[in-house]
Amino acid sequence: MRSAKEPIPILLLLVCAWMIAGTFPVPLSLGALAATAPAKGKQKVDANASVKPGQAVSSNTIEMRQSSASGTEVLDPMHRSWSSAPASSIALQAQNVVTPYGGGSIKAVLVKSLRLPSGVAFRFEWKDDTRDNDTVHQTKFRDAVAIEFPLGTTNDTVLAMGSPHGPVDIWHWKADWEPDAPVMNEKPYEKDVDSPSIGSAQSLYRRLHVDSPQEANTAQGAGGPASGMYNLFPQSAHKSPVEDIVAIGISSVTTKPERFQTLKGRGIWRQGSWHVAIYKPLPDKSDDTCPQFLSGSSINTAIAVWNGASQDRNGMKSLSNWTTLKIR
Amino acid sequence: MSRVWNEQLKRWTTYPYDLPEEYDFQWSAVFNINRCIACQTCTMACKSTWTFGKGQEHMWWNNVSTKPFGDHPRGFDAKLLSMLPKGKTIFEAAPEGERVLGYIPDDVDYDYPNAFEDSTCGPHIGAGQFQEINVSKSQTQDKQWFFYLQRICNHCKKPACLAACPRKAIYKRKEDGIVLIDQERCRGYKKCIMACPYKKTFYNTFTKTSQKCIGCYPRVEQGETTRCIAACVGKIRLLGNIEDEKSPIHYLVHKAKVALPLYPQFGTEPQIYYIPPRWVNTKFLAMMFGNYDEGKIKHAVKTYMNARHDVELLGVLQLFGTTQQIVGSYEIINRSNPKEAKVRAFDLKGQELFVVPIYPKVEVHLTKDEQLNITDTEKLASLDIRHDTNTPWRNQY
Ligand code: SF4
Ligand code: SF4
Ligand code: SF4
Repeated sequence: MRSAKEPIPILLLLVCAWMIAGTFPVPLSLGALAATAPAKGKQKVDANASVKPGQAVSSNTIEMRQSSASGTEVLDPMHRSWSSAPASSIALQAQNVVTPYGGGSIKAVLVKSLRLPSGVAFRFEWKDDTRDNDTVHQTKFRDAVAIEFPLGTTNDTVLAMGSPHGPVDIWHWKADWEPDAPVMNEKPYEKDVDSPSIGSAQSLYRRLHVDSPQEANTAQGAGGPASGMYNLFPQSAHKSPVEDIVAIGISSVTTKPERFQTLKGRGIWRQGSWHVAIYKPLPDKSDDTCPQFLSGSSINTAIAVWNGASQDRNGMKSLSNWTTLKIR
Repeated sequence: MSRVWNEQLKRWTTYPYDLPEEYDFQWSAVFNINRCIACQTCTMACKSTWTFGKGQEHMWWNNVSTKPFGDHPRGFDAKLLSMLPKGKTIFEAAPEGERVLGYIPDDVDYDYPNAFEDSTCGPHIGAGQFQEINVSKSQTQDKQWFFYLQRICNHCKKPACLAACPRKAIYKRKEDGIVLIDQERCRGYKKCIMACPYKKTFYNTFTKTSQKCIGCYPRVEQGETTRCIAACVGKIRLLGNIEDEKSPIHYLVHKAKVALPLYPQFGTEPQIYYIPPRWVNTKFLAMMFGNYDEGKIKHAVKTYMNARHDVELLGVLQLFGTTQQIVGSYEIINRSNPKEAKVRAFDLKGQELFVVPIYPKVEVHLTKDEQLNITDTEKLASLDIRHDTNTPWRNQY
């Protein structure tokens, strides 16, 4: 086979970024890289300074207020402790830098943030007419929200999933990882073919003949997920609906090792809106896989929302610009 | 974006990534459609080995359907053909913001894995009339026809599944060209399912990851053929390395040109090659196997029909289903003396596997009716298929 590169510099750059990103696994020992503490002079004017708690303004700043609430309390997105936090309305747009393009159906997300004695918490709220928490069917996709922080010494890494020199930490909440989402039924082969339960093989494929009870095997010899590989997706009951991810560039998203999966979350869909709370117990000072959220500092952050009904997934998402998180 | 040479289309095309110039070994196979009996032994061999688990109910990494109407998922090829502008590959026809043109089948499309089994196509044959079986050289096509199509992942040279994955969770192995989905990296985005024109990646509804035919790599690594090939009752399948000029696959595809790829116009350079069925409408076959070139089909069918006079082709056809080892190379012994002609097969390391006669001796046992004391000597004469150099091998082959 002969091959020749096409002389399109931008595309070549993307290919390069993709190739660099191919160097897995992402090293998590970022010990040499100090926690983020940007220069004070870099801080932007606080657009929310005169805003009353709970009132939303369109903004490029999110303020993290101190609160005495507990982790359990803030994990309820409807809990009153959230009413003390100022809300920032962050504008979102379609991702159209890296193929596959997509997103854009969610125009804005309302963000609140609290610093608790035991950790930090974020609350996201956005309008979405449909609650998409079903990833059992072939053509269905989940609703989701994620917040991204630069890791290491630079606060100015590449917005799109970081770079090899500026890794990013991503907290990713998924509607279908909530306990009430449909899953493949534990007994997919019921006698009653006329009223199969949601997620059973019979409800998925009404005419498919399946005659023997089966185990969740999946091709262990072929390196299937049951063969001891580390992938959080195959679990039917997720410990948490929020995944902690590290990335060093496009296509490099990697789930952090299990010991770093400390994020908790709760999403409630009510009257055409999602209300999602994410809580992170304060990390160990030596943990360089997560920002330290030092009081008085400002760090960059970016937010993305996926709308399952629009077939959003991966880079097909509604995305914010870099937004300043001011930690009080 | 790369410009890459598509050997099947004989032109430069685009592909989203750079690919290796050469593969040491390209997993590839020839399926002889003419011999398949649709027993589905291959299908069950694969199913019972790899996809018997929860969430895999709808997966048929190997399926055998009845063409022109059937296939799994339902109508996948007709749908993509109707979406694809003629003369463009699925990469060239990718919509804005996508890398590949494609679609995701719905749940219901997976419901009927063997719909239209044995359904024929062609003009109505009225009461008292019969189908004429046509085997003359000028006209091989039957009025009423159907054929079985055996499909597995093509382990394409330009895999659409790989191109579409935004995570690079799919890779093509340099050592054998097998295309795999890394189950640790897959996050179930289903971009590969959208992109694969053959719909041979499947979404596992339990693991929430995509899975596909693994080319039975644990067997291939031992020099053995795949489960679906080893189990084939009709002995229609042969696995090998098309890159190796000594390989029977290379001979069938590049020298005899008797085996053709499925839907080469999609542009992925699929590596399962089919000996087209001799009785089927040529135009239809040209759409499926010839990139609309009827000449390729006519050549392949004619060559196959002439196999009895072509000692090398007939020799290579004896290799199908004769061993569980991958045949790396072969030699024809006594090429000029058909009575003694044999084919000797070697494994990938060059060790001899077996020797078989190319024109096997056939013994005919006629029944004798003891009561009436009748033996049909006339029939015996007409069935003379013993070696006869004047009219070689005119029967039975
Ligand atoms: S086992 Fe062989 S003959 Fe039987 S259906 Fe499969 S390919 Fe055809
Ligand atoms: S047939 Fe489909 S799944 Fe197999 S390599 Fe080609 S594009 Fe990928
Ligand atoms: S090569 Fe192996 S995994 Fe692929 S269809 Fe055949 S038996 Fe199944």
